[in-house]
Amino acid sequence: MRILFAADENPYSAEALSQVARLGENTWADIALLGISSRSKNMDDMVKAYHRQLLGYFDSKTSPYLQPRPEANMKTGIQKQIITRVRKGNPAREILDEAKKEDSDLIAIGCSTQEDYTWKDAGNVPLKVARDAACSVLVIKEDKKINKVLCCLDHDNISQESLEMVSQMVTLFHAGLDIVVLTESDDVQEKIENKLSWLINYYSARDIFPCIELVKLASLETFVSQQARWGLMAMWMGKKSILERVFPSNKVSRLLKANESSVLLLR
Amino acid sequence: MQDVLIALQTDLASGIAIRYACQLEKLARFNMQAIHVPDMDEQGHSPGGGWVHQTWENAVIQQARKKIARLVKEDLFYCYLARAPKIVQGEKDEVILEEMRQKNYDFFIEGLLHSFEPDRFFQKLDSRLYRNLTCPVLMVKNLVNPDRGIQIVGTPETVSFVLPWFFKVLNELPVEPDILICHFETSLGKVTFLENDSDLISGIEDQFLKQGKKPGKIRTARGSVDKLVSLVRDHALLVSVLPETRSHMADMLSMSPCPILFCPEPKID
Repeated sequence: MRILFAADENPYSAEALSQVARLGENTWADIALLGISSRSKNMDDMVKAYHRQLLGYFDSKTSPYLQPRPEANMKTGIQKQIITRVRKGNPAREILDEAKKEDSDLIAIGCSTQEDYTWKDAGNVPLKVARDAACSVLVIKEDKKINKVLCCLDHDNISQESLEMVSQMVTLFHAGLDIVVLTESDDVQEKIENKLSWLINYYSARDIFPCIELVKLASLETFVSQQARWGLMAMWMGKKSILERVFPSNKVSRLLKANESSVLLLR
Repeated sequence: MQDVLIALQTDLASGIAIRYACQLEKLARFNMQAIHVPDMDEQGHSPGGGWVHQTWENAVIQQARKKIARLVKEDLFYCYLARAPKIVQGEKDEVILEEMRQKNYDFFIEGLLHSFEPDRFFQKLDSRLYRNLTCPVLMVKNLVNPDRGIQIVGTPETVSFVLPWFFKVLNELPVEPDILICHFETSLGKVTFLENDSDLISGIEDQFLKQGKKPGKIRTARGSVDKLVSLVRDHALLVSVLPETRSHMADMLSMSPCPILFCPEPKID
C-alpha cells in the first residue's frame, strides 16, 4: 500500500500526521510526505520537520521505516520507504499529480475545523482532492477523536482493499464499526442481506462486531447531518455508487460539510 | 435451565438473532427451541384445491424446512438447539403465541434489523405478539461484542418491575448490570446526571442482595430523548419494561442499536 500524506505548514497538518503514522505502521505502507504550498518559502524545512516527527512515532526496534544501525548487528527485515517531496503551485492540482505519479492507494490530508474544512489561505484543497482523486482519500478533521467508524454500504461496489482499509481504521483507532445500509423501501433485498451476512462474517472473524443500521435513501442527508458522534465516516464513491444518486451535485462537499467527522472516501 | 423459544425466518435478522443467542447461551445456559412459520404468500397461490393444494403445501413446508436447516447449520455450528426446528403453518404471531402458551417458555428471541426510521420498531412493539406475551422478549437488532456489559433501563416508576424478570431469566449471567434511571425532558439540550434517589436505590440494591448479587453503576440522568440515547448505544444487552409505543422510552430505545430484552409489566410469582 502507498500512502500520500499532503501537508501544508499549519497545525492541522501536523496533527493529521500522527494518524498517518499509525496507519502506516499498521499497514506497513510506503509513505510519501508531500509538502505543498502556494507561497511558503520554508516548505523544505517544514517537510524535514514532518519527516523527523513521523520517524519519532515509530519504535526503533520494530519499525519497518527505520534502517537498523550497523553497530546493532541486526538482520534487516522488511523495509518500507518514506519519501519526501515539495511542490509549489496550485495545491489541489499538485497533490493529485503526485498521487497519480506515485500510484498512491490513499491520499491523507488534514484540514481545519475552524474554517469550514479548508486549508488556511488556500481554500477548498481537501474538498477538491477528495472530489477529483482517482484513489481513496482520507480527510482528517482537526480535533476529532475517532471512536466510531461509520461505513456507508454501497451494494454494488465493494472491493477487498476497501474492506481492509475500513478494518485497519477500526483496529487503528480502537473504534467501533457502524455499517449503514441504504434502502429504497422497508424491505432489504436478499442479495444485500447476503452481502451483509458476508460482511458480518468477515469482520467478526477479525473480532470486529459491526453494527448494522438501515437508512432509507430519502433520509440519508438528515441521517448524515445528525451523526457527529462517529469520528470517521467511510463511504464508497465509485462511479456506480448509490451515493451518486443521493448526492448528485457537490456530493463530496456536502458530505464533508454535513457533519464533523473525518471522512474516508473509498474508491 | 431456562427454556427459550427463538423465531427464525430465512433472513439476515434471524441469522443475527441466532448468532447472538448462541453467544448468550454460552454465558447463561438455556435450552433453545427454534420455530419457523413459512410465509405461504411468498410462494404464490396454491395451484388448486384438495390433494393438489395439500401436495403444494407439503412442498412449501419441505422447502422451508430445508432453508431453516441450512440457516441453522451455517450459523449454529458452535451452538446447539434442543430439538429440530418446528415448522408450523399459520399467522406468525398467533402461531408463536400458541407455542408459548403450550410450552411455557421462559423467554422468546427474535431478530429485527436496526433502522434509522423507527416505524418497524413501533410496529413490532404494537404487534399482537408483543402485547400478549407473558414472558420477556429479546429483540436482537445487532450482533454485539458480549464484553460490553448489560444495562437495565427504566424510569423511576418502571425500573423496579424489570428486576424480577432479569433475575428470573438471566440470573446465571456472570455480570453486574448497570442501571440507568431516565427522567425525560424534551427541552433539555444536554444530559444532566442527577443525584440518585436513595429510597429507590436501596430498594434496587435489596432486590439484588436477595439474589446474592450486586448491581454495577447506578445512574440517574435527565435529558431529551435525543440526548439520553447516547447512554444506551454501547451495550451487549439492554433490559427494559415493554414500553407503550410513542412513549419517550420507546422513542429512545428505537434509536438504540443494541439487543433489548423487553419485559412485560409486571406479573410474576
